[in-house]
Amino acid sequence: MRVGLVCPYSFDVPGGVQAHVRDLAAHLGAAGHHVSVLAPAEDGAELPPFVVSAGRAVPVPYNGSVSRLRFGPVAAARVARWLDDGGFDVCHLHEPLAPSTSLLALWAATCPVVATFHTANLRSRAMQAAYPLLRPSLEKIAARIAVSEDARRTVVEHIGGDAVVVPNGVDTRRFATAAPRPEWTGTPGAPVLALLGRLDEPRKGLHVLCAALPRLRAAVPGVRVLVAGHGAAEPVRALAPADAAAVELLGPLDEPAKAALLRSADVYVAPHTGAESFGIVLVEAMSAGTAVAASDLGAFRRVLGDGEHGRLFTPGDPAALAGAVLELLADPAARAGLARAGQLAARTYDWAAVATDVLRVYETVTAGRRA
Amino acid sequence: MTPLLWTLLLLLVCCLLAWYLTATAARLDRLHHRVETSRASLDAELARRASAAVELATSGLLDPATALLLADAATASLDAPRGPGPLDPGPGTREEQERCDEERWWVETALSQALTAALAPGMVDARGRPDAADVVGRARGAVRRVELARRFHNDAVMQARRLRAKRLVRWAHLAGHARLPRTADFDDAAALGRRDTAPDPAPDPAPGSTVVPPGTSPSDRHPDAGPGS
Repeated sequence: MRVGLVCPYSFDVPGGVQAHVRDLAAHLGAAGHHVSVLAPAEDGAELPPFVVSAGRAVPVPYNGSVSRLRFGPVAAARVARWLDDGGFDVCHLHEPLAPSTSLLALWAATCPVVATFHTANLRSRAMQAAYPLLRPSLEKIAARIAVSEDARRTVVEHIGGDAVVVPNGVDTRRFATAAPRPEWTGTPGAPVLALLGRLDEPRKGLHVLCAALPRLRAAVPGVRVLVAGHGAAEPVRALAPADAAAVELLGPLDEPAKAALLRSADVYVAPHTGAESFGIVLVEAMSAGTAVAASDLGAFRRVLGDGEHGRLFTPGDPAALAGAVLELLADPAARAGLARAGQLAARTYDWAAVATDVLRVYETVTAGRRA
Repeated sequence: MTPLLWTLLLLLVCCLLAWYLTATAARLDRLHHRVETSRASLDAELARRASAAVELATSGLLDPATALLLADAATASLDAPRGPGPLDPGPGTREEQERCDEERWWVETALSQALTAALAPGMVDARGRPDAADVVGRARGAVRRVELARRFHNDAVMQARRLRAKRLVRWAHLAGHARLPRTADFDDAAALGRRDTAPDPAPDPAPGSTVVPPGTSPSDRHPDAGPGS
């Protein structure tokens, strides 16, 4: 099958949607399908061989964070040419409402279109304004995929119609077999908490973790917090010097280092304050066999099986965060049990199962055309 | 206002109206096409599921009572009369067509329930049967495909109905003689299909292939099921 994947965000910048598209392309390619990915990218950026650049992306604030998007008539022409040259059986767009390559491809596509909705926080006001313009294009989508029940609900509420849920995929084995690094591994006196994410986005909740730090250090003085990701860490700088010393900013990590960090840590903390649609990093931590403590958000609650595969605490509440984390640190046996349950549950999201399901969607869409 | 201005204004309004009607007609045409193709793939996936159910029933992996129930539901699905296409105005009155659809969905619900019962934990006796995972995996995969096809079809139907409910579309008679499509309302055993991706995933028999076993392709069995026939 000839599959064209379209990613709206710059491919040379790390991100959840980019990682999803890259992994999906790799798995479809390994299954013997012809895959081409269209995505914005910096000129001269190193890209995997299956990626076609749609040109340089421009950073614009969209949907609560700064995204690097690509738009304009030149981009539209490039997208149309890519579609023409590709001769695809299926065109699979990601985040079709982002004002970037996906929307342009939806506009130009003549082959069956599959679209994956990653986000659970569509701004309804923006949608209402743009909707009459987008509706005819959206009607071209033959199959809608949502990455979680929350993302599906957003699609149903804001766009109408229905979508099927195919979760994000994780290469669970890579995380399960990563080698821990000694400098990131905790000891009984100095356990390690880990946190990954874009630090400049308040919704990632670093400030909640920082606010909980005095409480954590009061109970476990040696506790270390390893924070990895892009951006300036304002909340850390605002801390008292003694508390700030417990936080180590690792900066952006590559994939192997990320897996090693998740393997090494004692507890993965997800202090997000809202607007998460899936929580793939939770699944990654679970795959690595690390106990997870996360904000009680709809998406996280579902991934963590209502608390059976990880601890949940009230979002935005530093005391609740400290309580949940300290409980886990105090009882290594319970922590190990939780980690084991999480590792088993994470297999649902393994790429082998997810890619098979995505292929089924492609086949459903193309089968009707041939009949 | 001079008469010339009036004429120009009238011309402009006419042009706008013509453009809007053409664009809406194209939109409706595209949605109708989606309704027909998604219905064709739903029919194909239902046929595939019924044959996977027959295979499971005759595999000897189930106890005789369950096997008989499943075979009965599966053959009922294969033998159920196919109505006209989702947009075809004839043959028969609208009531007859709707009754035909409803009977069909009733039969498919029965098959969903039979499959749910047959694939419940502990029902399949896989001892000494290396092919058990294959047969069960095919059945589970077929259930999931029906779920997908039904959702995509209903999504298309809902959007087509929404556009056709618009006043201008009705007044301008843009839908022609096409029947108002109806959603396929049956139990698709969604919980069962999703378990396919749960821990211990059953291997999909043929990832990346759309091969239907010979003799069960929709065109062989249901010459009246697809669009344009």
